[in-house]
Amino acid sequence: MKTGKRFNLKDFLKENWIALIPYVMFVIMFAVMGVLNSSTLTLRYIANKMDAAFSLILCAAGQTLVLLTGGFDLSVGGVICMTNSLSASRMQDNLGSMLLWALICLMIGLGIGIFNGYVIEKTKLQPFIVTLAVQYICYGAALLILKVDGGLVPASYISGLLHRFGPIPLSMILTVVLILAWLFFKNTKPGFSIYAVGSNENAARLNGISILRTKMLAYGLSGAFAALAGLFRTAQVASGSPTAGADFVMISISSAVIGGTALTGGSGGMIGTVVGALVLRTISDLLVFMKVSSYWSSLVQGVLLILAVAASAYGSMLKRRGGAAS
Amino acid sequence: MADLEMNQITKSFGEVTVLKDVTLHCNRGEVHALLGENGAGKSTLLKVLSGAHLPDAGEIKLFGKKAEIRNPNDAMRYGIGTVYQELSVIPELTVSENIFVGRIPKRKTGMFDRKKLEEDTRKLFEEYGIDDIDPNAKARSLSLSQKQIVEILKTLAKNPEIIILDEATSALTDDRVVWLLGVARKLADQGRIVLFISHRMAEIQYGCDMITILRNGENSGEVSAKEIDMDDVISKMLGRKMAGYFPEITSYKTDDLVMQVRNLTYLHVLNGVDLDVYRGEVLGIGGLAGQGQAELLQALYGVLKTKGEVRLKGKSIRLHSVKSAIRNGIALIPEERAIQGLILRDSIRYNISLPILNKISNPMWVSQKKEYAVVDKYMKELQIKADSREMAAINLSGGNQQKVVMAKILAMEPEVFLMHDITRGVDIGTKKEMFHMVREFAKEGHPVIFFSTDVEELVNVCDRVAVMYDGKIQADLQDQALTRENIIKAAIGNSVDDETAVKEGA
Amino acid sequence: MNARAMFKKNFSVIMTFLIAIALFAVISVMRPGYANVNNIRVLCITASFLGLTAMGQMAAILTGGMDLSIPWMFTIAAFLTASLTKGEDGRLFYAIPVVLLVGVLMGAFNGFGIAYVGIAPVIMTMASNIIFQGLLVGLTGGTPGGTAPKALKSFANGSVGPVSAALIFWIIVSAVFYILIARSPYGRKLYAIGNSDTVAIFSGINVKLTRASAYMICGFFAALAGILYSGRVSQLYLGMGDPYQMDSVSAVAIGGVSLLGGSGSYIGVIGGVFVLVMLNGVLTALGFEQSVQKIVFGVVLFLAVLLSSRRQKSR
Repeated sequence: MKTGKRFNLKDFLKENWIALIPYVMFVIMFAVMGVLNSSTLTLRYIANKMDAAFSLILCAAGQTLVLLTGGFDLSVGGVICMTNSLSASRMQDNLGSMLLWALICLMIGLGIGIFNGYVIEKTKLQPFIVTLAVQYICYGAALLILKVDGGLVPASYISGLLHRFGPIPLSMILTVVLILAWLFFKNTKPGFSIYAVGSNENAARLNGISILRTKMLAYGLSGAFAALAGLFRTAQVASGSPTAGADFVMISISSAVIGGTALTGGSGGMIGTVVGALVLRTISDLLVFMKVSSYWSSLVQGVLLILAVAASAYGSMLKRRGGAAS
Repeated sequence: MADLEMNQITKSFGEVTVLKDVTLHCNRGEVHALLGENGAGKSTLLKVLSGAHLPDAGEIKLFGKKAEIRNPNDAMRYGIGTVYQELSVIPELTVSENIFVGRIPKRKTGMFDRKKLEEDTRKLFEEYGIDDIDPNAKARSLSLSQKQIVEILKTLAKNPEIIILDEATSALTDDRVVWLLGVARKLADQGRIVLFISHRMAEIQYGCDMITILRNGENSGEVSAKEIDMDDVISKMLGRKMAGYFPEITSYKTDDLVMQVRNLTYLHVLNGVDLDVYRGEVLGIGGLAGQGQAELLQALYGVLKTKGEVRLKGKSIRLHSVKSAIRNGIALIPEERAIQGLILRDSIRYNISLPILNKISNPMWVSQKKEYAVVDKYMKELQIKADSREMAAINLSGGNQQKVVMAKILAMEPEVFLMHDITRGVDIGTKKEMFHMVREFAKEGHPVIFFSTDVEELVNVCDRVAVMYDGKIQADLQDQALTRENIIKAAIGNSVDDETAVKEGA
Repeated sequence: MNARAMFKKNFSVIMTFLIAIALFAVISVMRPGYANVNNIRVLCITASFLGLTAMGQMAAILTGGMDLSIPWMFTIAAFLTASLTKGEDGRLFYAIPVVLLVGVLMGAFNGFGIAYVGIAPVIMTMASNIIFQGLLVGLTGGTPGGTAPKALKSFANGSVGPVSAALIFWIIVSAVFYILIARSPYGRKLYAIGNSDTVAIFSGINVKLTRASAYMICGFFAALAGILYSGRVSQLYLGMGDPYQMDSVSAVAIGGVSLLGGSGSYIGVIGGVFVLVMLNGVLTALGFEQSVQKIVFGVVLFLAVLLSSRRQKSR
């Protein structure tokens, strides 16, 4: 901005209209909900919604890092199953135990993720198939930890994580922290490397960036975020489930993609993902408000996903044409 | 003793020896050019210096001391900076991030110091006189020439003692070529060494001090750029007299107008091309890089969506897809044989039969008999050297790969041939065969549109040359007007005032 | 070609079958009574359904893509068969072509989004999978029902001599598919676009149409499997196609087909199908718990893909 150019809204929109899609979607959704049913759209509703969406936000945030490297992480579902089961069944109602198990869960997620990244780079197998295999292993491990849904979650754990500061839930504060941390991380060497590797792996290597370390970092963080998602889910649902994570795999990818992260890697970011996750988690409510049968909600999700991606595919095509001309 | 010495460097890839006892000596304050044909080993030699290739034998001495260069990082430590021929710009990062990639200044927190980065970039831009690039723009939004400049600045920002410019000018616009030559001179005057590969003689003559000439991976001479004798240099590059290398030209040109192109336009790259192509002629397309030559060929092959009219034998045709071009009997030997021409991991057979699968099929499946017949026929005709038709294209030499591409095109039995720089990275023997083949096509009555970046080829292979400039035909040269000088003159945008120069760009 | 060259060339295919045989040996040794005609027939029927879906998946993967919408194309086909026939044999003659056409159309929807709009295959088919799900659930109010005609039931569960009819059906369809993929011009074009869009374009291949058609083929086979499956189960249920989403991808990957597209053979995929089916057979036969089954499954999947892809990489 210091180059003396004046900020021009028209140019800005022309350049960035695609990146704005998730935000516009989000605003429209809330506007529609507000108009249709203003009595429901209360602070308490938003707080509850935030809590309900926070696990997905965490999981999708990790997924975003992997997608940015041009990969995939299907194992997030497995990690959520494991950590959710573990924390729900092993935690005692004292701070030490809670911290210990939270730390163990985090380490498990981190370890699995680092393993993914290492194997993918070393074997050059497709991330899809590697993380799929790891996902099965995690599902199995989760069943070893907890046979059926249940577990006993300490009440203080639940109340602690679902705490409200006035009308503001802890999850909302943590989301803001996440975004701030992201803005910081993006501007550090590791964050920068993730973009570089996803944008053009070969060029990144030529510029002295370690592909192995970058991928281990991205997948490792993805695993760690999935573990956090599992931990939060334990509090939010007040129960553990060895199969809870399965739903998170596709929807975490969808959140990132709706939020503007490209599967080809190198473009996108976490803020869009947070919005994407919120959009996906509120669709079913919107349908209820619109008095549409909830049977249609998966259809609407699918259409939304395609529209969001089609718009950015169209946009990048325009950009390519523009690029070829200059 | 020279400041930089590469002594008796030998390097082979598999069974092909690319460098044999090559020696290169340069001194501080020198812009030193490497000259040689494609495949002469220039790039390989410099890649040995930059650590991208390990030599099989030989030693490198820097400022009197032996240097062990095993990888690009070693080279960097020795102060050797390379501007890569394949662009290593990362598209999703900004210009300044790209320039300082890996070394972006940090604050105590570990976060990037954007202010310092901006400051450093500004200083660098000032030092080298860059004012047309926004340091905060994403690299993907840059033009090819601008990307190349970013690439150059990235190397310069590391303050190397030795700067390697491997075909760094090929993607630059004309004014930036002048700029780069100026930068090279400035660096040399600061006491550094600049190594320079270019195919443009003018740049070498104008911008360099010494020239080392390579031929087939061996030293062929060292001359001073100031007292250059063109004929001498060319004969050192080619290693033999020009006669026999290029074919005798007997004109088979007829008055039979096969293809007419009228007002062909494509974005800002083709700005209204008019072209007439006659039966039996080899029509050369010349000009500096990036004047629309590649796009013209691709347009005639249906790859690009263009505006304008193309008439074939009087009939207006629509070239909306490659399929439609092939149906109309137009075939292109593409620019990049490894990217556009061949599926490298597939066999010769698969590659040749790919465009003609429907022709050699029984209703349901590909007829093995027909396929073998076609493949064997062209392998024999073009003398493709391979163990069998099942050999993967990746295991063939460059020349043989190019022959497979030609076989693929010939198997389509086209009427009109479009050729894009078919001798790139091809050995001299094969080149000679190809020139004769091109003349042979003309003799058989095919029109051939022959685009080459090499002026010698244009003059010695073509009946007529259309020189492109800024997306238009700048000059149409034949007979007496078809000279190197006229081609170069037209290529840089001057008009050629000769009555035999039939047409000028409108 | 000598035996060694043959072995080298077909390493991944041979490897796949060896794994399948080894797994079968494990069952036979550990549970001597298990390898009887009846159990083998059940394994073969299971293999047939997976095999049908894996064919379509292979077509998509060969082009460098993937089809994650098989589950709900499969499920829609099964329910549509039941509702069109209303359980009467006489209506099958028009119901089957209609259902297959619906399958092709669903595939065309995927193909259009991927080839013409330029949406990443994983996203497109992931989205269309839930769209198809939404359509079925939404249109039927969440409770689709119906039952398949008797003829279909006896075909899906029946056998010719000792061999199950489903297996014979799969073998016949496989023969046709093999010719299509390995011998026909169309198959060569699929491989070509999987290897390089650019070379394919410069060779005059209509890349977009060919790519889209691969998904139509996938829709066709998903529908075919769904029709057959409606006869296999006594009660149709939502989510019956779900296992085929990842299993079809796994079978293709174990069979040595690169997920990047452009390489691998259908024979290998048949081997991959048997590996998966045998593996599941072993795990149930040995009476492992669900948890251990999943862990072993994941480990074997990873090792099998690693083994079958080693040759390709070294090229």
